[in-house]
Amino acid sequence: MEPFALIACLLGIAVLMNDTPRGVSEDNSAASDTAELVRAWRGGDPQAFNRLVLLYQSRIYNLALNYVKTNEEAKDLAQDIFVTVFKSLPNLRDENKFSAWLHQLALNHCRNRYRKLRRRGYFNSTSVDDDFGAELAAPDDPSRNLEQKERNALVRATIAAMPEAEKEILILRDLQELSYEEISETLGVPLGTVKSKLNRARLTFKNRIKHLLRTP
Amino acid sequence: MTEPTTCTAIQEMFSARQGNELAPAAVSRFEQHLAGCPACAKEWAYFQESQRWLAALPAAPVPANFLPGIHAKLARPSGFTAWLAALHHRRPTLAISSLAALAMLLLFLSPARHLTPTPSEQLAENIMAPATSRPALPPPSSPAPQLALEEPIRPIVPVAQNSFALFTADRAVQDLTSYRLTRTPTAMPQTYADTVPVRPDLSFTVHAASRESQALLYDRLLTQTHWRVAPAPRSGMLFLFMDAGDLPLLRHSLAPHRVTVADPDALERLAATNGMLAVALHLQGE
Repeated sequence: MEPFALIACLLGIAVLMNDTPRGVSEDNSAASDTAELVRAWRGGDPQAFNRLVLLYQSRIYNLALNYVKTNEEAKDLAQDIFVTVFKSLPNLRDENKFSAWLHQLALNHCRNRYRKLRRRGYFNSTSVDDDFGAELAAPDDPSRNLEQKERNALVRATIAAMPEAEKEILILRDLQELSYEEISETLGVPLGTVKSKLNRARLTFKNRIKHLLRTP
Repeated sequence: MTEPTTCTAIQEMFSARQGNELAPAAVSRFEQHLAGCPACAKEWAYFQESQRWLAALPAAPVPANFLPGIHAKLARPSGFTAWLAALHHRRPTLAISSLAALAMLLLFLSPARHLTPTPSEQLAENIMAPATSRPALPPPSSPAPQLALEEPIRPIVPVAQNSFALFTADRAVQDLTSYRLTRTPTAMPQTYADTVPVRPDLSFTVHAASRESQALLYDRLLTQTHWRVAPAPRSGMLFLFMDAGDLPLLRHSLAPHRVTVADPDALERLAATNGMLAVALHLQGE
């Protein structure tokens, strides 16, 4: 086994065992450790970067999945994001704002990749290779029924088709579970604007899937 | 007496109600309206159900070998090095010739180094090659005056192995601050044209009071990986080279600050065009 793979396996065990419903493995204590990890990495500890990746890989990978169609592309995009993180971490001034900074950087990457792919007509066709909602078909989880899988695929497709600004804020809050403050820092908009835009985005989402929802 | 609550106002409260963020008085107003308005009650039920669907969305598992893949990418040569390596692999003689030509070019350019603009100004000049779709810009009204060098040009520290973050925020802000401290008003360049040989398409004045807030702004701009950010410390400005379609993003980036634009008409006109824009941000303390 390659050394990096070994490190990833060892460090990843704790993360995988502590999986949340969304697979977001960062809990409060981990969040408070983030600044310490950033400092450690700057101080020359090479393992600190690996631990940062393991803390945030699920968030960033799932963020990327909303902008591309296949798992492989999402993996490539998410890895590129962490490569940029590695290179530009010296520019981060406040270690305590790592999460917002990371999401800001990740969103920029996702937007750029999305625009690039759209220019190439990537989203104009569907393919049998599309993994949109591929996690729904995870063979190791037989408890999920077909209805749930279809529903999740529809939710993902609905989010993907939303206007960019609304999609971003919905993803950050409802899928990435960032706080209002973190979203405010990430998007560079005031707190009140975050709340009003989030409500607008949720209403858009509701209106787009209304025909599928059970009538009250 | 309470104000009548409209259906629109109620629907604007959906998220706050969902998150239990409403004040008690607003909650009772909300519930009171729903009790008497079947349409809103139905929309509220749809909203709650749609939120349940979102909450049930599972996260996709991270693919195998994710971390090793990052290190593999980091270990891979990038940019010029990669090009040279590929060239060397296929045409060793051509690679050596290219290196020799590059060395000669550097030798040729080096004696005039002290007469040339600062690295940031060079960058600004180099990347401002006119795009075909960019509207033609009028010539400067007067020739740019010669820059009087009153202090040695300090090198701006490039970030190693970083293709987009060309300058460190610390150094840029340090330059901006020391510039303000050391220059007398009479020696200050009056316009961008004094220091940077480009005409910006748009000029904004950004009221960023503290050194800290200027640094944060700089950090924020650097995260836009597809922009080029060139500090022009002598004039206390930052130059951005960006696509016109990114103007809304710029607005987001500048949102925490009070911003004034020199020519609102130009802003409106350019926002509707394609192509590269040169944008000057004049950082001003409040």
